[in-house]
Amino acid sequence: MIVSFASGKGGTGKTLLTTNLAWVMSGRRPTTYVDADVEEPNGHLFLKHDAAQVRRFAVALPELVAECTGCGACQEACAFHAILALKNRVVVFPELCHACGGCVLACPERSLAGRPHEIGAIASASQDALRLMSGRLDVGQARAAPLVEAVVDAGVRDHGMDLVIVDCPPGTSCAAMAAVRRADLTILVTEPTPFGLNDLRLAVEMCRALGRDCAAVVNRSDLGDQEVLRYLEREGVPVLGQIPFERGIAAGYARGELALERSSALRQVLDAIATRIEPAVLKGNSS
Amino acid sequence: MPERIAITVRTLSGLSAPMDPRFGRAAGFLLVQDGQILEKLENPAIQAAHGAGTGAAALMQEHAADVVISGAFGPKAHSALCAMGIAMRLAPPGLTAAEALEREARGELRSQELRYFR
Repeated sequence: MIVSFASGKGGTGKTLLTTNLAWVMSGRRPTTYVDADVEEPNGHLFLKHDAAQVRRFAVALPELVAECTGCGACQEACAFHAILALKNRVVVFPELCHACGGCVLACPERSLAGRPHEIGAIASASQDALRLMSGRLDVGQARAAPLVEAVVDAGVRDHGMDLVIVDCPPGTSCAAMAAVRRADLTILVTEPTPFGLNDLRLAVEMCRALGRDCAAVVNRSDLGDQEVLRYLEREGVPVLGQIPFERGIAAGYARGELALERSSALRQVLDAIATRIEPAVLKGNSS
Repeated sequence: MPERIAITVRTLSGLSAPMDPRFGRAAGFLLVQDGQILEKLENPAIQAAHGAGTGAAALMQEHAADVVISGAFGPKAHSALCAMGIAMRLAPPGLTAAEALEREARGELRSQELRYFR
């Protein structure tokens, strides 16, 4: 089973929940923690692990490998204006290219081919029944989605009866969608503030647009108002738990510690999530 | 053959329209030859999340512009127009299209230099 933790708004507690949940669940069954927040992966700071194996990740950018007639089919095919056809050559803008390969297919002369272009790395490590996969985008790269997809795929590959927990990037952009794309359940971590509510709405709409089941956890639940809970009830999104603000959680988190030892509220929420996902895991339910 | 000059404009009303200071995200373009408007082009790239500059450059190439007048060209638009061999002229903000064209005719507009070819 694949459970993604997404949020819309950043800083709501995705990594707090996913790292603690991964630790708890790995005591019961093989568990993979996937850090798909590739612009700032930090889950590995909380989970003990052995030496990581790192492999570079590349996308394929188009390159002219034979004669160009300047027909413009590649330019037509590109939704992002990343390739321009001149008289007898093309100009490629790597920072605009989504590496979809459409232009390569569109070229009637078969003069375009994909050239590997590294954009980041995928690290893997493990500790007992816990496996860690973590994507890291290179500094200066603008497009995270292909790497997010790759790290989720790597985590999900051959997962069998395992549980895969995906720590998603914030937001509802292509990168966030790539991270929830394969999830059996998406848990939206939110906070009861106007900002939290605004971005939660977008996140719920994202899940619905992608046909993904979603549930919610309200973090720092005693600091804001009731609007988030009202919204979730109105929309029929189940609330799996609420975590009040606790200074101890923040202090431990800042030191890179798992917080479950120090917070009974957090343990309760983790139990509720485990109860929600265990039956599916036992059935070996996977997408 | 007289030059075909494209100029970025805020509205497509005509030569009295205010120049748009941006290239890639200009509202539209007037294509002018010998002081006459050949075509009024809306800019389909204006709402694009990315690639507005290269999209607008592709439009210039499609309409065979020799020169483009605008207030500013972004780095990708610049590379694309350079590669296409289309000259870029920088006009100060606040002019109408007609005023910018007059200055161009008098040779008063600064060229955006061809810095490099991709």
